[in-house]
Amino acid sequence: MGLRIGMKRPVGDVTGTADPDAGSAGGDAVAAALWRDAPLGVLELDLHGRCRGVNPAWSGLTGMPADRCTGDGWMRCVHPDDRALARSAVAAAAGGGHAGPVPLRLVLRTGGTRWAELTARPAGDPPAAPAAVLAMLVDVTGRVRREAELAAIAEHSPDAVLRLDANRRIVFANAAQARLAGFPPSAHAGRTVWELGLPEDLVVVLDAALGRALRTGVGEDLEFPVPVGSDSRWLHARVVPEADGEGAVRHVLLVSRDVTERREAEDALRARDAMQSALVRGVSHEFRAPLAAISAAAGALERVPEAERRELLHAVTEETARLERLVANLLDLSRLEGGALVPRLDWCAVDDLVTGARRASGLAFGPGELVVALDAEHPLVQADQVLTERILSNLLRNAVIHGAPPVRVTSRAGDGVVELAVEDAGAGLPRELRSTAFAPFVQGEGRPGIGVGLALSRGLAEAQGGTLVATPNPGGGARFVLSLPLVPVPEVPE
Amino acid sequence: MNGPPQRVLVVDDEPHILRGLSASLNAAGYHVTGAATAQEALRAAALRTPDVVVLDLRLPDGSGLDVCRRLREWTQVPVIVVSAHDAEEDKIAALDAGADDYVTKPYATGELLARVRAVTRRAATAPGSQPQVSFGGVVVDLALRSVTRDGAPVRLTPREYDLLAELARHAGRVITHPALLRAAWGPGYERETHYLRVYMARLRGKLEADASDPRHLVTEAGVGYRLQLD
Repeated sequence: MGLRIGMKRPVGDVTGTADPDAGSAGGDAVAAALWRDAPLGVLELDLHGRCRGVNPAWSGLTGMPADRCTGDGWMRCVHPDDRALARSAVAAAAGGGHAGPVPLRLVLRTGGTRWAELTARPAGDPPAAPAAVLAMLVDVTGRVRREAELAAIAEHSPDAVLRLDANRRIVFANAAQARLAGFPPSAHAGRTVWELGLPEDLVVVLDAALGRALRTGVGEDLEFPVPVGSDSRWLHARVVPEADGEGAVRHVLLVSRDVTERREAEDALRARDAMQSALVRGVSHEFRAPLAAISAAAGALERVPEAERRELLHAVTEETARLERLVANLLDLSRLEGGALVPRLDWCAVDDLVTGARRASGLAFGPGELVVALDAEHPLVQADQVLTERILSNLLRNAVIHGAPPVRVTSRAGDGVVELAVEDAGAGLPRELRSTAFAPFVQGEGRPGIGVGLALSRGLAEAQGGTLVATPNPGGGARFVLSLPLVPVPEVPE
Repeated sequence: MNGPPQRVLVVDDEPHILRGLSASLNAAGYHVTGAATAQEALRAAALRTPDVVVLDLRLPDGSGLDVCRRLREWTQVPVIVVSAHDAEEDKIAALDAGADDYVTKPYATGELLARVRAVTRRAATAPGSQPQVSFGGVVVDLALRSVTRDGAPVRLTPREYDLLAELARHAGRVITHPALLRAAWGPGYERETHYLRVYMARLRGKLEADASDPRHLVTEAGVGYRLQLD
């Protein structure tokens, strides 16, 4: 390991940080100590790339004794595929330039392979006309292996993984990230999060989080919507500071997962919860009034004179009927929602449906209070008679309770449907209720009624392939139209 | 009808319903026996030989349908089944199992009493034994195959007559769609419900005072038709 030149002059970068005037005996002693003891493998080459000597650390790293490294001998410890890289780095330094660090593989005498970074520097004064080249090797096997492992894991992760350096530039992107961004992993390299096509306000938040993670070493979780094509997806992103062996944070990982389905499920669950509590509130409210009336009447029965009992009993019967209708509607609603209510479609006479609905409604219409005008050309429809009577009965009750007589029931065929319209001569459906009237328990301000009637009726209509809508009524009152598919009636033999 | 009070067997597992119904039937002059299970019902029917059975289809130890079938093995006692809200399939099954009529829960007491009266009256006269059936000014003479309304003859096509006659022979009872179609058109027509819709509209036009509000030729939604005499 007799090395002269390097020892006699300040040696390039190895001691370059020292005072330039320190090219003294003291400087030589430091350089000698470094040559002997630094964990850095150092190789001194002439300007043709022939080795003049190696330090002990080089031999330790490569397993090759100093005397076998001379000339071109040192090249034998570089992996054949990486020799050109090593040569060009040395040549660059021989020309006065700085080369590396260049990653390359070392072939050990024992047969293994290690990763090292080679840095080549011109040595001597002036650097522009160097007298020699110093090539330095640092063992980075551990780091390269870790990175390879990380890349292998990250590559196949279903989560999108981005690895960014201290300048918040992307050094790695996996396949899932490429799918998410819409361009290949290689196209990510060197970009910042500003160059991923994300909305600006989102990038501000994301970039700030990345900066904080690098600065403070503390990660965070973010959730945000991103446009993907014409769609919008929800992402959950975890910002993970990546500490190196010394505990310094030089990289940060951005791991994102598509949580759209989870969010949608949560939203649906929330909406369902809200609807269910509205339902429970509404049901409780609806039950309370008739129960209170029955309880009051029953309590009074023992105390009032005979003559007044009949009236109280009538109240009990009326309120009981109201409870029964409510329970029937609720049961149907739950069977409908649970898919347990299967319509039995058969031929029904429209006039039968109206008659049945009028009787089922329990309403007594005075003369002229109910006008029925049906299309004689289309007397039959395909429907579930019981369900359709229930729809019409609900509509009739609505018309009487919330509207005013006369109530008109008409039928009309056309456009592939038979329409059955129920309209009244009241004030009409308030504008603010037009879109919400079909939700369970929505009612007009201060109005009585069965809060599930319209919701159930629409469900029953749709279960039979029909529709139920509120339409504007030129006559002023509320107007509900039940449409059922128009099916040609097969011939009836004489 | 004079003579000893008629016996009604009420089968229901709800004590309050049993009590309420018994009170109403007692007040109407019937003698009431209660049963809470299928087993009790069959035992009571054998021991007490009731004149009419009011049978809830939902029983704690089995289906009322089975009770109905078991009863029909040895007795023609009229059976009125009580079915849950809009269980049309159950009603049809009960009629097929030999039930005479049904009411839907919840029912008004007055309605049930009317049904009990109707089936006990019918039971007193064997089906089809009466040559003439009258309702709302209409007389159907089953022996002469003639129909008059307010004394004047009504012209019916053979099919219209067959349909009316089937209803008249079982006046007061619900006849299911398939049974009516079989009676008027023969086997193989059981699913042609639209025939019935068209023909019943014609019969109503010829026989009802107000065809748009029929009193006698009554539609039983999802099940069939009934000729209501009064």
